[in-house]
Amino acid sequence: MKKITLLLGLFLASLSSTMAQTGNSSASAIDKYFANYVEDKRFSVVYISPKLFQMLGRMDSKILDMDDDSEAKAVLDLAKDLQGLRILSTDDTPDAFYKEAKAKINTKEYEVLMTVRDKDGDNVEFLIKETNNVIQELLLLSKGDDEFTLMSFVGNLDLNKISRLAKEIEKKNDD
Amino acid sequence: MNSEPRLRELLDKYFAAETTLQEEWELRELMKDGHLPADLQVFQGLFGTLNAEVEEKLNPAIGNLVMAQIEADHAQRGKIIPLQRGYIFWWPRVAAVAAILCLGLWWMSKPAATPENELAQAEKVIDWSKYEPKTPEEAFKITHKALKKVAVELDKGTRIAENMEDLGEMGKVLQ
Repeated sequence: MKKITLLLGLFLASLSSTMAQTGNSSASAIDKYFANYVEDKRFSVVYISPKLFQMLGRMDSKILDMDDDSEAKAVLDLAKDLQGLRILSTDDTPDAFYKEAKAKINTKEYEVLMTVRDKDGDNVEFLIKETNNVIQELLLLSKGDDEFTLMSFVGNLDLNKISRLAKEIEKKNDD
Repeated sequence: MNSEPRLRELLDKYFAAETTLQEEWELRELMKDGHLPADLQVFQGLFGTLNAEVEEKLNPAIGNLVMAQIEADHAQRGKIIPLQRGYIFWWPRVAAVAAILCLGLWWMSKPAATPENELAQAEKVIDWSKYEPKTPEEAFKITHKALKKVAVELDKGTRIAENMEDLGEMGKVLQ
């Protein structure tokens, strides 16, 4: 009887440790990338938590110090669907960090939405993670001569709303 | 009664493998006749042997001898204990049920691998609160800047793609 109890105990212990390992391994490659550089002094890090986004969702564009209300509204409209924003940026060897980030991102996990390359050599790549045709995460990798930036937007992102914001920005530039 | 024609008929059928069991029995009986023509007497040996084999019976004493030997063997090996199924087989069943229950509970409690959950897991490892803006206004400015970059770059990429499509159309017209 003691043997049986011991066997069951060992089985349950191994099961729980397997569960813990599975839980840890489900963190995506991009989470590991952030974890690698978040404490690195060469990087600037910004994080907007789900709580802050909830607060933004309740804010009125007039309360915010914005010259153009329609642009602020477009930003707030997008922000209310977001649940997290993480930004990493560095001016130290941007080219090397850009290449490393691209190599570490799992192409099975993320799909390339768009790559934009300037004649000046600036590269911007958009990657998305979709579930049932809804964008759940958008990654922006940007490399210029003097800066590398990685942004991760988590939440339900609507490309139409982003396009609306682009139009508002353009309108503002025309004025 | 002259049974010779019948005997010849049955023999022909026998060698053509067409006789029934009843006819074979009849054939054996007819072969016992001591006044058969010489050409048929050669088959008497064959059917005589078959008759002897059919009539041969196991000596009942052999059965008794075998049983006596088995009992003697058992007596030498000691007492035979019947399998106690309840004792030997209950614990693997309990272990199997426990395993199924544990797997079921784990499956039910397993969080879905959504980006939100992955973000929550990453938050546990990294203390992101250090990198949060202190006020919602500051958070809005950062979000605004980040979303503006996304909108501008996506717009730029879309315009380039549209221009390329136009060039493609021009190429078609020129052809």
